[in-house]
Amino acid sequence: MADFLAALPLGKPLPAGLYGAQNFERVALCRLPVDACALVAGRDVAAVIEKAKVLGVDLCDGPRRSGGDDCALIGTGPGRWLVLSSASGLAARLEAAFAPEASTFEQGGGLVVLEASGPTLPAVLAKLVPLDLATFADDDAATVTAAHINLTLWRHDATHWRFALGRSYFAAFLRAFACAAAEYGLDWAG
Amino acid sequence: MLIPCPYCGVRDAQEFSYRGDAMPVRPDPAAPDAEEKFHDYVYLRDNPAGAFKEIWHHSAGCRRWVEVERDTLTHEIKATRFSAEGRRA
Repeated sequence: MADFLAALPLGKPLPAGLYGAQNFERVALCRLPVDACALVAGRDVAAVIEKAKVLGVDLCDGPRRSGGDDCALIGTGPGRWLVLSSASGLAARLEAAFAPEASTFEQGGGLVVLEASGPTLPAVLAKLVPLDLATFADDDAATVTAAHINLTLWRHDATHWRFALGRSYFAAFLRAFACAAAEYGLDWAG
Repeated sequence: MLIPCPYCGVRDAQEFSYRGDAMPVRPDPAAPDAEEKFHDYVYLRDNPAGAFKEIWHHSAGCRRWVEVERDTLTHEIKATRFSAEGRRA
């Protein structure tokens, strides 16, 4: 089968629009305007978990999303979290809350966060991610590869999944996602 | 082959990078026979057919070093733990 994206440049993100089949079961994908930081605990992870209560977060040291006051912490490794927030000044807030027990690294310029939804989304993700996502509960997360692209994904709620991936892989991931969703249709909001 | 990562859960071996034997321990450079011991540490490796402790890096997951007890004949994995835990024990 010919690549239905062949006419589009490889290195640029897909323009917003409909791709693939045009039906009512299509998958919706959009980019979220959030700031991102990496939070890395020192030796005392328990102290970091205790300090997270200042942000209203019941922090979990595992591959799960912990929500708080206008921020979300997603476990990416032991004592390591990806922190997302739509409010400004995230790095300064984290530094004030967690230093010196944990270090904060700004990631906002290097990461893209996407949100996908739709009735056929599980079938699309089954083509991309080598995990049994049907066993995932709300807030379960995983750092994994999809189409050879490293990303962190989590189940935001019953119908929405979110992905955080490197900005330089954004265009490649969009193409892979559009191809996986082609049989159901993709509504890419840009 | 599936490797149970202590943090991420069971994952495909393709997510991991293989480093090799987990048993060699860096010799004391101040020891009188340090030169000979460093030669063995750097160059000599066992290649057993059977039970083996080895180091894998979960490079496409939590990016931690994982010590895996694997049978090299059957690929059966008996245990995994973070590598740092074994070294500190």
